[in-house]
Amino acid sequence: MTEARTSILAALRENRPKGEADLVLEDIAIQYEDPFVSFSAMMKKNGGLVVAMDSADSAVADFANRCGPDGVLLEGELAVAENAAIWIPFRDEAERARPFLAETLAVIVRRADIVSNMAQAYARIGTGELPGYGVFMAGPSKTADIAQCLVIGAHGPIEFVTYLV
Amino acid sequence: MKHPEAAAGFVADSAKSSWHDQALWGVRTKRDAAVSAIPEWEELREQGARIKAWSLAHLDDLLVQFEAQCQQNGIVVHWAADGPEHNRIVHGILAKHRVKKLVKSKSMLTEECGLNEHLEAQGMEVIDTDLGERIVQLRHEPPSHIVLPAIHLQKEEIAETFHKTMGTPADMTDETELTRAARKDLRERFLQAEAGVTGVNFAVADKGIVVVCTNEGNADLGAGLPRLHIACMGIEKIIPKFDHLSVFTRLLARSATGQPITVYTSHFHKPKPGGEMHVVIVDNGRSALLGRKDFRRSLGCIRCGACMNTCPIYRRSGGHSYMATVPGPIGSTLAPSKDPKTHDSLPFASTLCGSCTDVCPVKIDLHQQLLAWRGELVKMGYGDRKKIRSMKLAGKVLSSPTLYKLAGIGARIALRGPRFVLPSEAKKWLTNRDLPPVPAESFRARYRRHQK
Repeated sequence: MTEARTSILAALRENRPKGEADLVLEDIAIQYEDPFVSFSAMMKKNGGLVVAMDSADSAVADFANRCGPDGVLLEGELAVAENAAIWIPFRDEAERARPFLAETLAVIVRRADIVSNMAQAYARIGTGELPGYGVFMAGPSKTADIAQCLVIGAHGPIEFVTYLV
Repeated sequence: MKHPEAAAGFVADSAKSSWHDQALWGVRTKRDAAVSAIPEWEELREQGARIKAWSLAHLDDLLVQFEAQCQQNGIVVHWAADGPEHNRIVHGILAKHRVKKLVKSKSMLTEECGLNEHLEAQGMEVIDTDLGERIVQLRHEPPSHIVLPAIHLQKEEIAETFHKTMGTPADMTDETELTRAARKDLRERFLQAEAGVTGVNFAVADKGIVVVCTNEGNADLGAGLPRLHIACMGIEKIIPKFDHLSVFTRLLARSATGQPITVYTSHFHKPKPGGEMHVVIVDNGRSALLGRKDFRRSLGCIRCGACMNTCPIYRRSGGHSYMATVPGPIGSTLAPSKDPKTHDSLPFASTLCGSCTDVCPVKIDLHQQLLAWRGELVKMGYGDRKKIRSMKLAGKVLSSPTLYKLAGIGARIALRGPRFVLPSEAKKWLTNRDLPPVPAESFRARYRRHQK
């Protein structure tokens, strides 16, 4: 135990506000009648492409045609309608950086796995075992750091394809 | 130097100053659109505020819980009482791994601690990888905004910097081409780096998770490519539960840039196989601020920058005029708690219009804190003496009908004459603008005339 740890914790105990009521939060997050429609609209807004497919196999075939050897194809565990974020857990840990180095990143998600909002998403993720590393991705990488002008493709993928199956 | 003097240069270039003003107002407008798409926004803010208040009341327990969870996950946790200790710890970890080159993603904390300078002095190469931060690093400037570090620059200035430092064509000013040039240059550096340093947006106590939010993907490359990842966080980044991330990820990007969420919301739970992950928890004045009843809520800040984008002073004076790591309204209340003497002009760099408070996603009472700081600073003997004298004088005049009447007559006469005869303090109000024509009579006189 370091000196800093002891002194910081002592100061926090001394200075912390007292009498804070218990934290109970109500479920307030927006619900969508058709999460598929909202997800697709939001992903387009985020600069990503949405492709509806009848099966994962046809998505894999389309990906091979579309991207060539430089693309990366991943599976998403769930998707969120309110912001088009897709939860990608890195379970085998193989290469955490690999999808970020790709020019094109594609993700397969089941339509049935689209939830309305982040509250539902975290509730679902939290019930399972958490991966060592997991990312919500919501489109291609982007920046507006040069004069507030939006540029798609910063350090991560320049193209982002979502296959909804 | 005080805020008005530091702002003078930026304000003098009125074309650039108004471009800056409009650019930030554009971000504020995007925020409004994103917020209005969520009917429960105000309740969501309330939840954010409540989680932060609860967290501040239980910071010690939460940090201990967070530490235990991290250790269970194989993450090494360090504690630093101040900036120098933080820098020593980070340097120690890097030195142990014989790191010569490292990449950094955005972290206001390491900016606050002066980590780059510390590591560079010891012969390490530190590369900031967020595009905006990289731009200001190449120019040897501090960031001027916590989310948009290079917002004070126009594309021609950035083109010139890239031309000088990366050898891009001098006439290449297209934003996409400039971004691609930086992408190419930095990609090499990512691949060569032996360690990655990131900031922390949220640290989840019950699971031992560190969450980093970016749009560029630089934090994921920096943490994912090298063997060693060091995440640096202030003690106030802690939130109690994994589920609470939903509240903050819903608030953060909408408030910051008007996006529904950042492109990447990355959850670091365990070191990668064969790698090492360290978390450095830093106090640097925060525990003392927790003891200040009027100001402690500023510790709830999630660093979205919304208060800057909306602030009429920040938008026109630019971030550098604050001469503090965090500028704008939130910086103006944070900075004096650390060093009231140096930062005594910042709480006065506000119109107290309250717009910052209105947009704050965790409902920090920013303008009230700035007002409270004014009183506090004057009590401590700081602040502008002239301003204090004129406030006292104004108090006397406004509480006496006779004095008020005389002052009105005096002002109407003085303002009819040429401006140069006015006292120098009054003339400051007339920089870059003039007053409307002086009325022939006072409101009181006119009212009386109409009563008849």
